[in-house]
Amino acid sequence: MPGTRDHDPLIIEEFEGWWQRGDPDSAPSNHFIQADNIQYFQSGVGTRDGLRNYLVDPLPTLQILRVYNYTTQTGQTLLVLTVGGNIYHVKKPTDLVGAPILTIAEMQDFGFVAINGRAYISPFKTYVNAQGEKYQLGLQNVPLYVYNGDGTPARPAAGAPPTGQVVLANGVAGRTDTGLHFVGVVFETNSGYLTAPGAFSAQFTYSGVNKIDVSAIPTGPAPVIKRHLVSTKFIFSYNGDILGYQYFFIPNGTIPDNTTTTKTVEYFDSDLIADASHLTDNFSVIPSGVALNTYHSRMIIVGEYGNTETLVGLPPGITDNRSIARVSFPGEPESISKIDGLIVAPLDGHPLTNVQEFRDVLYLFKSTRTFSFSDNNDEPVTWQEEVLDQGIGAPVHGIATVLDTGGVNTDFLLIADLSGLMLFNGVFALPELTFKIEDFWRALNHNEFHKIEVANDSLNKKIWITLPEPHRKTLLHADYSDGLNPSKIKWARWIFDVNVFTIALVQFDRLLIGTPGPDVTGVEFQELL
Amino acid sequence: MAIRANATQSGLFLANDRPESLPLLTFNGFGPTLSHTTILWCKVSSPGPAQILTHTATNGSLTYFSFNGESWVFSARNGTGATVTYGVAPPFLNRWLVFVYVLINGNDHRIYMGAETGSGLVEINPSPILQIDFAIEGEHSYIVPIVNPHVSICNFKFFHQALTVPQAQIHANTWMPEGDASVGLPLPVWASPLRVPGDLSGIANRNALGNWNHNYAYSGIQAPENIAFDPVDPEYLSTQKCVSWLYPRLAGTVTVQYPNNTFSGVNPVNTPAVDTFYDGTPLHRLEDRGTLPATAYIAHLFQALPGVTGPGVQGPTESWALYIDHNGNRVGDTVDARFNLITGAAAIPPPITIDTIYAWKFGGQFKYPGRTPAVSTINGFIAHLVVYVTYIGKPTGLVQLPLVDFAGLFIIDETAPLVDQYNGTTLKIPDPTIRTAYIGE
Amino acid sequence: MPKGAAVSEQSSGESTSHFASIRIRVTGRGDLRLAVFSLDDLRSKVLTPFPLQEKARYAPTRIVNFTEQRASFEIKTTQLADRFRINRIVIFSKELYKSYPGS
Repeated sequence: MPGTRDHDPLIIEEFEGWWQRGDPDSAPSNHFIQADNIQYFQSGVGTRDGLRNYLVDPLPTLQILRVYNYTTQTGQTLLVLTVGGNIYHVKKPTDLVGAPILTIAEMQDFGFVAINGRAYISPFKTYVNAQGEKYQLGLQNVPLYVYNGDGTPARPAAGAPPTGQVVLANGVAGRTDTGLHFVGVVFETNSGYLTAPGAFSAQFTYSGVNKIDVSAIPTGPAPVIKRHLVSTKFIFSYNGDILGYQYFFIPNGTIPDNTTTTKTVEYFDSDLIADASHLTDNFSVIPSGVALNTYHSRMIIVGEYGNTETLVGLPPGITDNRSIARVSFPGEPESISKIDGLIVAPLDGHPLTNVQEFRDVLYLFKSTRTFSFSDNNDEPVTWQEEVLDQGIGAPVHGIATVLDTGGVNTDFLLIADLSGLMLFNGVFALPELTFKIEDFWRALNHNEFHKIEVANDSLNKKIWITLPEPHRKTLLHADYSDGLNPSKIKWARWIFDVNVFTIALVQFDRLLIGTPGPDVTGVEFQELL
Repeated sequence: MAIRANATQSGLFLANDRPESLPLLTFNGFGPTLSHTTILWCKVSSPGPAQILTHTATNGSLTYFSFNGESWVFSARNGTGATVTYGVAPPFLNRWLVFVYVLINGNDHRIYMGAETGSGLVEINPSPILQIDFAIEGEHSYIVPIVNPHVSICNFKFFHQALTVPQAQIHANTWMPEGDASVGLPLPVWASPLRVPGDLSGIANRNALGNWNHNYAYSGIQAPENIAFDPVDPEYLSTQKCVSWLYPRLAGTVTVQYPNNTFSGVNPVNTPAVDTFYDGTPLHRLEDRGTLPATAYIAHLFQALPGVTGPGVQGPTESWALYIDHNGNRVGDTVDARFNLITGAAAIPPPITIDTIYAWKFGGQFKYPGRTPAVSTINGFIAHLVVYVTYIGKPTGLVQLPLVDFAGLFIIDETAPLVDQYNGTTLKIPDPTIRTAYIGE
Repeated sequence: MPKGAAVSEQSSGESTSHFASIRIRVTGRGDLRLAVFSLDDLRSKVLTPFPLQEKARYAPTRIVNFTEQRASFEIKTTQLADRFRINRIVIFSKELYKSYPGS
């Protein structure tokens, strides 16, 4: 071969990925200054894999804005949000796309968590303040929704208490305590939610020798599947505040349907053990937020705007509930106390953006702040806050989900902060994993970080990250098979002909991209507040 | 399924928005009036033989243009049956070349050529590179371009014989500019878009039932007055910088593989007791997506040729169009849906629109008369289903597709071919590229 | 790398070198397009493409013949369904000049 005499070979056998830090001529020899549409394998690099349709019959075409893995009791499915505010439940690639399960025209994005096979959906959108900064909050006066996964449309979570008034009368011979009692009704929905008591009876004095016939028991709207009767104990002197007394579930006082309007009960006050009072303070309409998650069997919602009920009595200058995290009762995701089922993150004008449990600690995130809370087995309002980091936080979709579970790794979190993709194992590890491409990451538009979404294929040790404009057609791809650290991670860009709005992993480790097409830059309603 | 421009526009050169890689074509000092002119853009990227244009006549094969691996050649079969081959040009690797084949009159055939100069121009040399003075066997008008893995073909065009040189220059470089109808410019018959090397394995003449398996077909050109049933425009989506139309193959359960499965037919086996309509299968959906300007639509027309085939006693007495609209509803089962036996045309009922037309399904239904006793039936079919859309305006010439074409859920699949497939459209993976660091001693 | 200098992980390239050829262990389909660039991409040269094969028993070499202080090589495919899988890149270079005259 002519020209190779006396010429030394420079062998490049280890390809360490894309380098975008400083001037191009400072890139180490084993790195690339451009790495587009390639993937890495041991000691090599090659063309990335191609795309194909996920749905066998893709019509009608869905203009996808967001996709989540939704784990049902029968398998892995998807919830997808399309342009126009429609959410569809896609169960299998071979299924035809049916009708949407939820349509809210204003919805630009949504938070999601699956609990007991049900999907909790929190619509939100992007607002713009007077300084032009974008932030995300739940839709004002739009509730949290629950979907049972069976194709029936999603409905607002929780529910209103019964109205009307039950009628008490002496029934056939029986044994009860004597004296004044009140009876009310609690609805139970098909998601197991118990409403506050309502439809209280007028004053009625038990004779002690008769059973109690309860009639005019109200029926509830469609999600109600059962009614429970509740009762006070003997009231010596009624003070006029019917809600001021402690109510208990009447033994055998459950009506297992939503049609029967009468029930006969017989009980002593000492039989009233199961307290129903805590239901009184629960939200009947739960405000939507930006992120949902679970912690110690409780559901957590952050990034709330609020509704008519929750926006009353705010301090001066505060127009929404952006720093409040709502916390449910353990095992009852829709039961959220208005009084003590909340955590207030430090008020700094920035909204909560994300929430994540990690190693038994609850972390709340703002865009550049991280706070931790620990369950002290008391009401959430008493949990003590610890500021973890005053400079690092996470955007609304900036915590990586792992594989197709929609969950996170137990050993670490991958968090996309303004300064880079961070490894979090209780503290934020520095330098960032995006050390080698720092110039690229730092140049991303901070105002658009809500468009960043991270997926982690821990099986094959790959990461993908969606990007904001002007890189909407680009995914950042990382291979960490040589190690999840800044020096061994290998970066590349995957470029498509469409705007990649959202990603998820399906079939364990296959990357799914959702796109509204090549020319939609995003449906953002920008309200100047 | 064909998409044809109306009489006020055709052609695929994009006015004033020339793709970078396609040089401007000038007919500088061109000779006689063009007649039966074929223009072809070619670019060879690597040495290797390739047939470019060919025509198969009834008595043999005529190859108009070939690249034999070392030079461009023209071969033709003369009146004595002998094939004569001429070398006409050197390779000009990686440069756009334009060949203009002109039938001047009778025996006078000439080939002109221009090569990309690097200044963004291709100037046709006024001196022909070949002049033939014998009659070429076979019709000039039945020309077929062939795709090769290392040759790009673009903007193959067949010009109307009445064009003058200046008019041809306009045609060669522009979409029909506004107002051209007022100056009375006759129009090219039609033209074909770019085919990128490697994407299609070959094209054959429609009548020869050749290799259609990539769903992109190109058939012969005929003078329009001879066409009661126009041939299909070849279509292809290219991500290269050349004007093109998009005709993706559709995914899903309805296949459109024109002209494969061009039929929609049925055979009930035995005649019914009373007159009965039977639906033909399969149904077909349009391939073309996105190049129709939404606001300039004029009309749709469905055409197909009814026929019968096979043994049996009783064939269908009538054939009608079968329409399933975009909502999955059957529409238009009226006498208006009957195929005109001469033109093959059938009116498309409302509510078809420019936006919903891609989701419609087209087929045929066949009326078999009741007979007692029943007799065996002959297979009825409609063939060469075509939907014509007439519109005013310019195709963009760029890959500008409706959002719906590229929207949805897509999965990275290591078992799939190394292309990006969106709802039946195949695009290349955008230039996988690595760039090493700056290396030195 | 100049002798006596601290070795770092950063790039190197202090002398004007002659880049003679490039050899790539690569398999795939289609054509592998090659180009070489000087610093700041002020000068470039397109090399003859590699025709790719699914299986190859030798790594082809392409003449580069590019004299610059440093060079960056671009490797890509551009056609539908083309693909590459690179295992090794070898660049043959030789130091020609220590510096420009007067510098």
